[in-house]
Amino acid sequence: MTDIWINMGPQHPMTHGLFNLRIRVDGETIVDADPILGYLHRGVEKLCERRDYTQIIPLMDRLCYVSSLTWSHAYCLAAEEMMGIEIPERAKYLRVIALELQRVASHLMWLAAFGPDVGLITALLYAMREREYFLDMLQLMSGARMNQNYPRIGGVRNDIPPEFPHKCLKVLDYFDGKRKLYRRLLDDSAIFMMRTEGVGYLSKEDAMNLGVTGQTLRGSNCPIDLRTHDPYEVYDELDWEVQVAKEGDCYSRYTVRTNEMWESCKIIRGALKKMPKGPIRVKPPKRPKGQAFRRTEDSRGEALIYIIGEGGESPYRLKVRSPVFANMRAVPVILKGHTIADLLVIMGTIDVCIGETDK
Amino acid sequence: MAKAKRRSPGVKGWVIQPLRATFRETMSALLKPETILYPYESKEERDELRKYFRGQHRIDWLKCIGCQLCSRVCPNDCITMEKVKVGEDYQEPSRSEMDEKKNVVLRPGVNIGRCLFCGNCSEYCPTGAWVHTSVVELADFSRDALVFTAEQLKIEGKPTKELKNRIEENPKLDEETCIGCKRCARECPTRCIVMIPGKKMRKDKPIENPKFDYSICIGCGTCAEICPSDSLTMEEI
Amino acid sequence: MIDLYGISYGIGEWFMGIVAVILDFFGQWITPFQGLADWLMRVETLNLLAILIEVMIMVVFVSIINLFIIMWIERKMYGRLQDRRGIMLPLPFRKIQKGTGFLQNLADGMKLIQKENITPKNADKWMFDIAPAIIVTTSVLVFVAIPFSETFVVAELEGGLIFILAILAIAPFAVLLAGWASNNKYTLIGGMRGAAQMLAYEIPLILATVGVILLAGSLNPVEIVLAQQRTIWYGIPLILALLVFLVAIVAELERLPFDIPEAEAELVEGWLTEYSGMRFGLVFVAKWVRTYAGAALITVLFLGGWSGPILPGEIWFIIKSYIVFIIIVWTTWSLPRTRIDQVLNIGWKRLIPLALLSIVIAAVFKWVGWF
Repeated sequence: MTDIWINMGPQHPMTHGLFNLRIRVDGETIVDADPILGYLHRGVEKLCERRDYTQIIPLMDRLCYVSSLTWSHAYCLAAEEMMGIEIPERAKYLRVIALELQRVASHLMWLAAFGPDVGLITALLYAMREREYFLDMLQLMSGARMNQNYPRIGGVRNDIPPEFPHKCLKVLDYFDGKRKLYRRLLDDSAIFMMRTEGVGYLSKEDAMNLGVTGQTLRGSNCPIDLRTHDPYEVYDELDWEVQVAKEGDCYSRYTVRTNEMWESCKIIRGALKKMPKGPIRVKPPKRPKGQAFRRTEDSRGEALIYIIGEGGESPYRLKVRSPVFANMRAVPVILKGHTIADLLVIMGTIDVCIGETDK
Repeated sequence: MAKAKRRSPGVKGWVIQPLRATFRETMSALLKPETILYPYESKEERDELRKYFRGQHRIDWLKCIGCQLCSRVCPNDCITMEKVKVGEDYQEPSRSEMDEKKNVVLRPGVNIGRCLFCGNCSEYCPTGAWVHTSVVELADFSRDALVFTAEQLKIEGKPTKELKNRIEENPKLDEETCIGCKRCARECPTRCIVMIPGKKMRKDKPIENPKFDYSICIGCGTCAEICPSDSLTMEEI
Repeated sequence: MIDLYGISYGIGEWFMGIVAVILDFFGQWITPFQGLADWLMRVETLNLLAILIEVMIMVVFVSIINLFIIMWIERKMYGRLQDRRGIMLPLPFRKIQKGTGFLQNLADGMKLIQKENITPKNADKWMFDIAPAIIVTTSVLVFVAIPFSETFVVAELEGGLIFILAILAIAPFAVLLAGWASNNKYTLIGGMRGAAQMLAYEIPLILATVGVILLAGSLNPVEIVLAQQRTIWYGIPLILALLVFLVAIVAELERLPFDIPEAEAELVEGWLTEYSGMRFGLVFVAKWVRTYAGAALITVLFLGGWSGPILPGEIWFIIKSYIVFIIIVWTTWSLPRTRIDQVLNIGWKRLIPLALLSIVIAAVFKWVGWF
């Protein structure tokens, strides 16, 4: 057997970001794979050490621009735990709404990237069209479309404008109406099923051993969602379900992600209904001491932030655990024995975001 | 490999279902596509949302007191404070004694090329002088054109007396080391400092120590920064 | 109905008449010119000229007028399908921004002409250059035998259908050539895939036409259409063959559900990766020409060619072929891409049995005596 190594990246349509996936192929079958990361390393953790606690929030937004709010929120949660402060109830609800809007937007971005992966560019444009409405809602909420800088240590930046609930419900209704379109276009399409069903199988044991989290884990019949297992904010008070799929192939990961979008819509509706009135922000201490870590369910898996404060204006150390970095470990395991065409679908369902992976 | 037991798309799924999906969209798009011709057209709903957008900054010069808080909280150091010469009859005196003597005002200018529009400046402004407009078309051909001077950002609204301590810190005096130079009183943007005779004596005269009016202190830390003997420290409320 | 040969002959005769008069005039002094003028006005010469003019008209129609229209239809249509506006470059002399975009393809072509033609360092230069030429020439050559109406046809060949299918089958060779010559891993895989796929789909493509040949009793496209005018459009009794042919032609054209040789997400641009400038443009345009050839072929074989009421035959032919083209475009942009093994499975395991079944159906029809 002759060895052919093919570089899928760093400049390749397959890579949604800047990384290199070297694959060894025998004909069209992948024998070995080797993801090479680090093209986008910006030294975020070090940068945090010379910024004060407020200035880190916009920096955390830029870990992943597709799902920026979840990252700044994870940081705020960790910092709050370190400082030992409890945020007001209304702020918690506002955060949940913002997080879920961001999650839907992020998943739609994933769907948009997944469409061309399976060869359906039409899905890209449809998903991007829907994402625009969710970005609109985030803009209405926080004043910015992408890097919102919305959560604050001790609450949120600003209250929602009075017309927000009405407009948000309108968007959710619109999105629910599009559910049929996606079902027909993707779920009911035999070719789509051919491409995803039985492809990229990851067993429950493998997934747990490799430290895979998020939708990739939940697609392998492992119902771990930190929103219920380690509840933060008010997720435990709202009515929703963890999405799990049993088979562990690409289609189950796809269904987990898409169902999560509808589930997020449900959470937003519930949160809008239950939201109390009151203050949205409490004052955090300026120079805290202590250490804390906090994990949250990011749009792609388990985001963990570990923070040490030594009484200064900026943290002594901040560690970011990126979900995709851990999920990438599973890539060579999943890929073995598949063809080059399957590689796209598998990488697509893992939902690579290099910004947070390389930090 | 786990064999999936799922609902099969059936014969319809080969072509018909996807075609049905796209046919509907095509029919609705034939008359009115979702995209708009951006510079020439606009959608009303989107414009409505824009009023909450954090776009280009404007500074209400009559509200601004030149406290430099914005440049301190800015994560990218894109705000520079400029001393601008103004006439003697400048309406609102809300500036430090020093500036009033020299007939200047201290106003911020922004380098848009570095700004990340996080909105910290407007959030921490004690008087609400920072305004975000919905102007987003800020691209230009040169880097110099991206640097907005204080004059360019000037708007004139209504002056306010309202001051909020958003940084939530107050200066504390260490009387042992204070030399009574009055610089803090002269530079304080809200004039919350008055000098009163203290306990310590110099040449048989009591050294004048600053006394703070914490009700109008905004915690900007200018006094602590310029203190020559480091006798002022910022402490949390 | 336009008599293509008659028109061409007329143009040739008129033009040669002028030339001959001038030559005669000079023949007063230079005697050989008189002989030349005589030779030019002979029927054999005029015939040759008429054929050349025919070819020229066809090439201009197919590769300029028709090509621009179908490119515009496709790009505009899938723009609307994706909820976009599609191409909308305004005409140069108009000030408004909302154009129809008809000249966008021309602008793209101009851009491609200006681009540098890059040949990779280690590529097999001769093979690399010849591959696009083969693809383009064979794509245009198909139209030699496709009749737009009874008289609007360049060459009415007795074995016209065989000729068309043979010409269409040359392209995989060029694809393999291009993929191999580029000396690139992506192009190599793309070329191999292209060859495998096109070979697999040749067979159902040809088998699907067998039913039509049986019913019509001729290999001549004109005869086939005339036979359909006498009885019924073969798309109705042979709906199975029509579907098989449609799928096979889409695979043959490397269009989306089956565009694995140039799957842009996995192989960058497949066997086209190393091509740039107008070489790329030519191949890209040839794809549209081939798509139209496929649509025209379906019209001839299954949809009764130019038969239709009121309007002239050529218009009917164009309408029908455009409808087929729109259906192809519509499916292209609503289906995901298949995998290479699945494509081959569909080709060998599904389409060939179905094509054989359609032959049986056609034979039964013939045996019963309905046709």
